[in-house]
Amino acid sequence: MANYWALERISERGSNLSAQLGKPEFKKLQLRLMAYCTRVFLELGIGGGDSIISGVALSPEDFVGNVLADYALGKIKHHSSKGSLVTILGTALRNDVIDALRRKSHEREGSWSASEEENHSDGASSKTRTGIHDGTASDVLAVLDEDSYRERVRKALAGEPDLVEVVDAVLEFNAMKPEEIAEIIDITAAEVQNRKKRLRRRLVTYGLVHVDEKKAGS
Amino acid sequence: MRKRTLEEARNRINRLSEGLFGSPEDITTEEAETLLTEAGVDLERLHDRLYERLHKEAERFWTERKEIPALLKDALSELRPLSVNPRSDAELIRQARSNVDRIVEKAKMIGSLIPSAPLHFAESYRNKKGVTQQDREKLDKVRSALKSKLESIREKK
Repeated sequence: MANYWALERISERGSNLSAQLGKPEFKKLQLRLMAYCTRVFLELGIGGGDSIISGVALSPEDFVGNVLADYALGKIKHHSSKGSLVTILGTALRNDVIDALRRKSHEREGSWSASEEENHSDGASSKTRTGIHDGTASDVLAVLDEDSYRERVRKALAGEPDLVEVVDAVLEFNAMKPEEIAEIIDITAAEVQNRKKRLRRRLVTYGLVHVDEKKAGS
Repeated sequence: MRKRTLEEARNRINRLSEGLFGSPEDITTEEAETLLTEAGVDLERLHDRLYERLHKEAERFWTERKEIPALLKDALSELRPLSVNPRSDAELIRQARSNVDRIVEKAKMIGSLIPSAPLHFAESYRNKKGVTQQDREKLDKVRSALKSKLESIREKK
């Protein structure tokens, strides 16, 4: 029994020590990045956490796994001068998603046969590549089109006046920092952070894409 | 108006996104857990699959008899699933603690399953034939004991 408590104390000390030494906690990183990547997928109109970018067959979980593997293998380095670890990995993740979309649209262009091109020019709405139905495929520049992005965000949040205030401050007044947003809508920076948290929740719970689809279908 | 290049468009959307929804740093572990759980993600399975993914990377080093990068080693040790046999006493303790924590968490959830409306018991045994008065009294006792137990859990909620 004495041995058990001694071991437990050592194990606790070890875990406190790794927190003190600033060792990365992979489980926590994975959860935060997974939530972030799901959000990126929804924002860009790809779909929710269970969606994949067809053509490259990668899901949010794959992107997070790849980024964490790159970090664990030393391919992505973290220097505190460049920001927190989660920010650096999050940025890498976001760029990877956009690169995958770009890769997908290049591959699709390259792999279309003459007859497929013909079908496409005839107005066929579904594009296929190596047999995968690509219902969400859109050109990467269309995904990154600012006007469509604004429209998607506005439509999705139309029923939430206090969230719309934040959206207006960002989209109309170009206020990016919480303090700038707070000044425009006359609330505290802490309240801005609370509303952003609600925006994230709404985005992940309902999804900009799904809201779009519902409205289109109704 | 000049058309934006891909990089410019990407940077602009990234800035808008950060302005609207915050940076990755703004998502705390607790918030991430809530969002993912609500989205139906099994967090334990998610960690297990990352372990498998990183384990495959480590296998390449073992095959080539090369030293595993320190961060990869840390990641594998942290993510090692509870179902895998422990390699040391410390790991055994960690696994045991996680299992107990999980059971305690589940037990805490029982309170939230009890409805807040007054509790009514279906007393079908009252109409049952062949049940003596003595049996009914015993069943009544069980019923009231169960009711007071559930009410005390509900009060603690």
